[in-house]
Parts: sequence; C-alpha cells; structure tokens
Amino acid sequence: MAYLQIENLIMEDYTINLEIENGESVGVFARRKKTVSDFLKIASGINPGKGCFHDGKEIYDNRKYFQNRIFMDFSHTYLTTLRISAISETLRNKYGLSFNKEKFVRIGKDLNIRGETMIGEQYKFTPAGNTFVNYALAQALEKPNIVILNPTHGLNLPEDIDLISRGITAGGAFNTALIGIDRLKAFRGRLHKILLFSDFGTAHVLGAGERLIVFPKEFEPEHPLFLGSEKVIALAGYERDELRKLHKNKIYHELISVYDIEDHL
Amino acid sequence: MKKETFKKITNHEAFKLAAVILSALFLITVSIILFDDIAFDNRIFIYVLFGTIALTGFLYSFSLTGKNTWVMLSFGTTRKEIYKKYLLDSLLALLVSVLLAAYYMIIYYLVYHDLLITEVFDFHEVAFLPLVYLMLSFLGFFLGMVKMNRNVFYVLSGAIVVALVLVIIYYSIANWLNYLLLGCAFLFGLANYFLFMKYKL
Repeated sequence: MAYLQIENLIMEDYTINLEIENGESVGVFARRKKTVSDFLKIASGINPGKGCFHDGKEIYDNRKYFQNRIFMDFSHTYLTTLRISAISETLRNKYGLSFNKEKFVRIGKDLNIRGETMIGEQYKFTPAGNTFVNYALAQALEKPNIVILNPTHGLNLPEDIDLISRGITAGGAFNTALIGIDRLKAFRGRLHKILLFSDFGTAHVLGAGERLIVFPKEFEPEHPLFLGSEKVIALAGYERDELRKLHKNKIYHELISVYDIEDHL
Repeated sequence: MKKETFKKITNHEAFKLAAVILSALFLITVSIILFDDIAFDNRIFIYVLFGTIALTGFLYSFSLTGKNTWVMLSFGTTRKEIYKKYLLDSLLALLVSVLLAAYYMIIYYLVYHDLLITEVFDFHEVAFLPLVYLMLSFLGFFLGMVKMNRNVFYVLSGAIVVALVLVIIYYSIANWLNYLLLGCAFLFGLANYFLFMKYKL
C-alpha cells in the first residue's frame, strides 16, 4: 500500500492525483510559490483537503500520520540558539519531541553552522546558516517521513546546495520525502516523481526521466504547462512522425529535461 | 550524577508550578499583614490576581493561534491535541487562581476574624473576574485565528484593561451578568473549537 495516496484532490483550479510509495522522494513545482506551499500543507495533514489518505484513512489531523512525519519550511526560523540543552528542552516541553543530539552536533560541525552565526543574546543565522540549522534539525529529529518547503533557501554555493538536496532525498535517511522545490536543477537525478502545477490549471505527475518540449510562445501545443516570455513548455507526448512534421515545417521545438524548466521561463 | 538529577527535577514543569504556588502562598500571607498597616483596599489582591491572568491568557491565546499553532502542527501535534492542551492549561490557570483567591480570603478571615468574609469581599465580583478571564482567553484565541494585526491587538488589549478597571470601580456586578458571561464563555469556547478545526493556515 502506498504511504500517501491523493485521489482527486481539488485545490485552486487543480485536480491532483498522486501516490507516494515507501522509499520515494517526490518533488513539487509550480510558478506560484503559494500553490506549492498550499499543497504541502494539505499533503502533510495541516490543512483540510478531501481525498488524501494514509493507511486508508484521511490524513487531516490524523494522529498516526502526524507522529511519523515532519513539515519544515527551510526559509522559516525554528531555532534561535545552538545550545543543545535549550533545544532539547524546548522540543520536549513544547512539542513532545526527542532528537539525536550527536547527529545535530555532527551535522552542525560538518556544515560549519557557527561560521554562519552571529552569537548574541539570541543566535542570528545568515540565510544559509538558517537553512543549515533547519536541515540539521530535520535530520536529528529522525522522523521517517519529511515534507520540506524551500529546501535550498539562502544557499549560493553549489556544494552546499548539493549537500542539502542529497541529504533530504537520500533513501537511507528518510522513508519518504515530499519536497517543495525552489531550484529544480539541484534535484536532478534525486527524485522519483515530480508533481507539476502548470500555468493552465492542470496538475501532472511526471517520472524523473520524463522529457518536456519547448515551442515558441505563438505555438499552441496540446498539453501546455508553462508560458514564458518567449516560449511555451508542454508535455512531450508527440510521436516521432509528429516531431518530424514540426521539423519539416521549421517550427522551433526542443526536448528538455523536467529539471531544465526554469531555464526556459 | 546527583547534580544532573537535581537539574532534571528543577527543570520539570510541575516543580516550577509548585514553586510558584508556594511562593504566592507565602507572599499572600505576608501581604495581608502589610496591607493592614497601610490601610489598603483588601480586594486589591483579587483584582490584581485575576486581572493579571486575564491579560496573560488573552496574550497567550493570541500568540498560540497566531504563531505557535503553525509550528506545533508542523512538528506533529494535531489540532485536537492543541485545543485540548489549551483548554486544560486555561482551566489549570483558572483553578490555581481561584485557589489562591480562596486562600487569601480564608487567611484574611483568620487574621481579622472580627469581620465576615462576605462583608469584605463581594462574591459577585469574585465570580465575575474568572469569567472575564475565560472570555478574554477565548477572544485572544479567536483573534489569533483571524490573524488580527498585532498593533491593533495591543491597542485592543489596553482598551480592555481600561474598560475592566472602569467596570469594577463604577458598576456593581449583578448575578445575571455572571450567568450571561458563563453562557457566552461556554458558547465561545465551543465555537472556537469548530473554527480551529476548520481554519486554514
């Protein structure tokens, strides 16, 4: 049975169908950040939405589902200290959570979080430091399933981006990962599926290796996804003959990876 | 090892609460004697006690739904659990305050037993203040849900404090007002529950 089953969920203009199996990492992408955020809130059971099931039961406010998942927006500040005892006490008293202190300290050292921190009465993290702290916390809480929004918020260095995207999608650390993607390229080859919210009110679940097709803006493809200033990106459901015809008629088209969408918008 | 156990005990919420209650009991006893020396209004302690928890409850409830609920839900606490804990916390605060007020009145009677408790304390007022606390707590909870602007909220808090002080000073509290408040508090608590279970973050 799938870990999370979403059947005909209606959100904004979209109808969403998605299944997340155990061991899968799934990305969510839309032009509007709010759409991704709203979807993740429903998929994590925080906001109501009809048609989302875990173990055959609705996930909204479902205690069993909540106990095994954590939702984190990496652009949000969850911690204002690095003192382990203070974090441990707050997590226990406020949220009834325990966390792996050794893991938190180890990741903190690996990422040199202190180098991204101004230490005063409260710790002030740089945007990158804040993402590092949130990542360390997400790992140290050791929940099997994670829902992450803005995973690479504030990161600039490719090695940092790579480390975080690898860390939250690695099969060993988490059972499932549902990620609201802020940089598609960073997740190339790391996701099993991608849920795309198009500019045209449709939602599509694509396999990681699936390709899309780019046309000039004036062209009207059968299944358009995103409309850029000069180009339109669509599902590449074209037969070889059709592609040949396009070529023959000198209609510009280009097959691209789903991870390259942002380059054409 | 001993030091760690000691630290663990002193950090426990129950220990902190017990320490605060014991300190309050001690201070109440001392204040009764001191208040007499400076001829203070004997009801002032009751006003201060319930006024403080009413305002604290108002601010706490507003911040719970306005800010903290989001993180609690993200970290795995369900809405039902949050509301249940909120109600329990509110009722516990109310119970502790009522017990402190009762302790104050009893000690007062024991020290100055030439006066009847009813001659010194107006029980309509004593019942009115905890009900105001409940109403304000529920109001703060509601305003947090509707995401009221923080500045407007603080102005409102100030206005409520002023209004409360004026009501206590210039009006005598009738029984019907207490029953009305009790009914409203019950309905407000119920309405808050249903709204809380449905509202979108």
